[in-house]
Amino acid sequence: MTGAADPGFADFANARILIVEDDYFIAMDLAEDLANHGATVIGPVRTVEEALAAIRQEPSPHWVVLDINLGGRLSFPVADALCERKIPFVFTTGYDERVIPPRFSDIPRHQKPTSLGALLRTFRPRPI
Amino acid sequence: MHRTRDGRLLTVETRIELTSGSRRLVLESTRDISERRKWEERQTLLLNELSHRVRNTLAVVQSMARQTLRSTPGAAEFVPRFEGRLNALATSHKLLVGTDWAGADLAGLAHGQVDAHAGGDLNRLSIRGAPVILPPDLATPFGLVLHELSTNAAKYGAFSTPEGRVELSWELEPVEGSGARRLKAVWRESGGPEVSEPAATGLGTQLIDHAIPTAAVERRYETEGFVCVIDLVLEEGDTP
Repeated sequence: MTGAADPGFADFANARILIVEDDYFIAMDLAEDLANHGATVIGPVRTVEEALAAIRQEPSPHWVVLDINLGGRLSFPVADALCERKIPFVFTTGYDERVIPPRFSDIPRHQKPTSLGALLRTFRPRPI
Repeated sequence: MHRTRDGRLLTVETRIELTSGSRRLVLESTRDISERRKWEERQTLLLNELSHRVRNTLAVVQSMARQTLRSTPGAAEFVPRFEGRLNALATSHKLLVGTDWAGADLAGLAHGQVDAHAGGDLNRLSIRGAPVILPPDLATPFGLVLHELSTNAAKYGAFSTPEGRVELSWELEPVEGSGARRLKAVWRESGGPEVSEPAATGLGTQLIDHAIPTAAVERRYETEGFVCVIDLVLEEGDTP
């Protein structure tokens, strides 16, 4: 990590990051990577309902990594709840980007398979 | 485009030819290519669908490799463990391809994952339960869990001795007040060595506990052998 130049990275060690991902391997892998970089990981949660519950809990996350397909369901209700609460997030997906509704055009997205480095370059947390 | 007399809209291909025989003629021929166009559109759709599945699968394999490596003490152990998991994934995928990705039959899934570990002796393995189709997002992790259960049985449990047996059975019951059904599957080992709760849980056991996102999983180390109960709800519309 190249921390100092980027205010986002500087805050990384204090960030609470929620992982919403239904595949166990991907979720655990990401959780370990983020924890190794000093973040506090919330979850991983695997379903739309669990994600909505995790967002409502206090303290709320500073940043969220959101998989688009959760067990065959699309996670856009979670994305809407995040926008409403002004919690920044990033989409991860194997889908064509065209499945993402236009209202989320400002949200950064990562095509799977993604790397931690690529993911962290879009790390823009809610102020910590 | 061309509209027929009965009002249908066809996609057509038109050709104009100039023939030069004894008399010069202009020939215009029009062919209906609607079917071909539909076929091409379907091909594009399928290719997009395939592309996203491949990307997802690559992401899973990438993390599977990293997680397996992190939980493996030596490099020599890595290859068989990783290959086993990769095979489990491939077995589930093969079943899903056979149904155009509609879902996988649980009995077929179980035979695909467990048979090989019974050492070819099917008296050591009983798989029975009501016919049930698992949706694709459930079939893949369920297959992986069955793989991990078999691997553990081969290492420490009923498949590690010549006399041991595994019984996998399941029941389906309706969930009251909804169209959902509850699936309760029981993996029961007997006739193997004495078993006890492991001091530390390896990746295999973590996968058994957590790989299926919506399942409640219970492991029991009984006098007869290891027992695992997998309890989950199949939502209405999940299965065809």
